[in-house]
Amino acid sequence: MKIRASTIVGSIIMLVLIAYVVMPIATVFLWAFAEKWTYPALLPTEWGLKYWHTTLARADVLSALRLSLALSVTVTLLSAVICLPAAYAFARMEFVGRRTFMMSFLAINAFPRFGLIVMIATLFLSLRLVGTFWGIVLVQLLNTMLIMIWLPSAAFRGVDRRLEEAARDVGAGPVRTFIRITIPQAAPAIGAAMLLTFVSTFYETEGAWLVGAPKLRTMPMVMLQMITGQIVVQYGAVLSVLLWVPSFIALLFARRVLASNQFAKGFGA
Amino acid sequence: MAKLELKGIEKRYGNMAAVSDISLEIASGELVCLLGPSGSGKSTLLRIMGGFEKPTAGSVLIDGVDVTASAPENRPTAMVFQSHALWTHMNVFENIAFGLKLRKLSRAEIARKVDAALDLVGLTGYGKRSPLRLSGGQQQRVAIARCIVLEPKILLMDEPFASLDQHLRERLREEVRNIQRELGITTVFVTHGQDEALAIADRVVVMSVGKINQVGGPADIYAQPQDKFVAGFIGAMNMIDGHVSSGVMDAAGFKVSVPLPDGEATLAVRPEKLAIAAQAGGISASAKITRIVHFGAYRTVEATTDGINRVKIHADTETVLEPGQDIFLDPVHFSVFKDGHDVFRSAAVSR
Repeated sequence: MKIRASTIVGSIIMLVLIAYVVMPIATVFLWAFAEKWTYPALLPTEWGLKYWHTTLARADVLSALRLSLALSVTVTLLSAVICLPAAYAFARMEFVGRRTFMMSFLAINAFPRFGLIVMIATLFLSLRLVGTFWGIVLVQLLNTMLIMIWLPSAAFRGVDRRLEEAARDVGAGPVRTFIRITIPQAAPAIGAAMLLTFVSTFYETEGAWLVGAPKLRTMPMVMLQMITGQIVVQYGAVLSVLLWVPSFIALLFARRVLASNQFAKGFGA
Repeated sequence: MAKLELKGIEKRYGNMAAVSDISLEIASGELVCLLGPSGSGKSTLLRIMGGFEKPTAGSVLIDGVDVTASAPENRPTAMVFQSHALWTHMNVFENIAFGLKLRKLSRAEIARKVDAALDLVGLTGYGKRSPLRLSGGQQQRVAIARCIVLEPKILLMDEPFASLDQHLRERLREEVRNIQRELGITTVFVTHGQDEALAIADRVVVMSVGKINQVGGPADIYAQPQDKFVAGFIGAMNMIDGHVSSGVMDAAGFKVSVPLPDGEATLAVRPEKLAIAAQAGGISASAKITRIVHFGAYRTVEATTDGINRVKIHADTETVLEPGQDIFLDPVHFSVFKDGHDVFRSAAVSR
C-alpha cells in the first residue's frame, strides 16, 4: 500500500505539536521526581520523592495552601449564592435590558484585567481592604461572575418549566421549588461551573497579588517565586505537578457538561 | 367533592385574546372535557383554573371561594401535565411523596398514602424506580398518582395521554374514568381528540378561537351540534352548501323544505344518517359511487352528487355496491346551518 504524501506531512505536524505541548509538561514532571539530573543524561540520574517531602514541609507553602483553599472555597460559595439566583433570573424572567446586561459580563471579561484590578486595588486602598482576606475575596469574586452566571443560566433554561409548575402545583413555594427542583435538575452544569470557579480562583494571580501581597500569599504566588527566584528547580516542579491535579480533574468533569452544548446555548441566548 | 365555577374569564396577551367570555359551572364529582383544536384556548383555560395563568378579567371559584388571585401552591387543585413533568432527580416514591412531605405528614403516613396511590394506578412496588426507567404510560400513571395522593378538590388534566399510542391511550382513559368515579373527584380534562372526550366525559365543552361553542353531554353534542364548527369538529359530517328559495332548499340535488327565508344555507348530514336507496323518493338525491373503503364492520362509500359534491356514506357490508354505480341518497336525519348556526333540524330525531 502506498503511503500518501499528505499522511506523511500530517504525521510530521502532529509530532511537532506533540513535542511542543508535551515536552514542557514532561520536563516538569521529570524534575518533580528527580533528585539528581546532570547535563549529558537524557533522564534524571537519581529518582526520588525527597523534594516532595521538603516542599510540603515548608511553612510558606503550607500557609499558602491553607490560604488558597480558604479563598477558593469562600469565593466559590459566595459566588454561588450571588450568581445562581441571578442566573435563574436571566434564564426565566423577561426584563428590559436583559441581553445588554448579559453582554456586559462579556465586556468586563474583554477589558484588560490587569488594568481593571489596578483600579480596584487603588479603591481598596482607601477602603482599607488591601492586604485583607476579604479584599482578595471581593476582587476574585469579580472574575467568577461570567462562568457562574452564564453556564447555570443556560442550564436553567434547559429545565422544563412544567417541572417547576408541577412542584408549585403540589404545594411548594417559589423558593422551595427553586432549591428542590430547579437546582437539582441543573446540577451537572452548576457543578461544572462551581468546579471551574474553584479552580480559576485557586490559580488566580493578578488580583491576589495586587490586593493581597505582600501580607497574604497564595499558592500560585509561592510557586512563581520558587520558579523564578530559586536555584533548586525541584521546588517549583513539585508545586507545579501538585497544582496541576485539581485543574485536570476539573477539566475532565467540565468537558462532559460543556460538550453537551449547554455552554453554546448560553451564548446563543 | 367540590364545585368549580368560572365567571366571565378573559385572558389577553397584548391585543390577542387567548380566551374570552368564558362562564362555566362544573358540578361536584363531574368529569368535564374541554375539547377543541390547538389554539382554541382550552389549555389556557385549564392553566387559569390551576393558577398558572392570571386571567385578565373574571374570576375562578372553588366551592364558592374566590381563588382567582391564589398561586398554584395555595389552590386545592392538582394538575397532570401533558409531558407528565416527573422530577427525574427523584424516584417514583419521592415524586409522589413530595407534596405530602410539604404538608408535614409523618413518615409512616406518607409511606401508607404513597403505597395506596401506587396501588390505585396499578404500579404497586414501583416506588424505588427512577421515572426515566418507566414507559410512557407508567410515567403518566405516576403523574396521576402524584396528584391524587394529595386528595385535591379539583383534578386538572392537560392532554395527559397525547404522547401515548392509541391502544394505551384508550386503556388509560378508562382507568382514569374509573379512578375518577371511585374517588368522586371533580375533574377537568383537556383534549383535542373528540373520541377521547366523547368516551369519558359527563359533559363536553367544545371550544374554538378562545370561546365556548357548545356545552352538553356527549350524545347531545354529537346529535345536536349548535353551530357549524361543532358539527364539523365532532365526528364526520357531510357539509353541503345549497340555496333556499321560497321555502325549499336545494343542496346538490337534495331538495328539502325548510322554514327559512331565501338565501345561502348549508345542509349537514352524518355519514351514518345517509341511506342508500335504489329508487328515488322523498328528499333523496341521485349520486354516483366513486370509491369504497372497507373498515371491517362497515364500509365508507364516497359518492358525488350533482357531479361535484363529494359525500361520505356509512354502508353495511352486505349490499352489493361498486364504484361507478348510480344510487340515490336519502338523508334520514339532517341539520341546516345558516350563517354558521343551527337553524333547522329534521323532525326524525328532534326531541
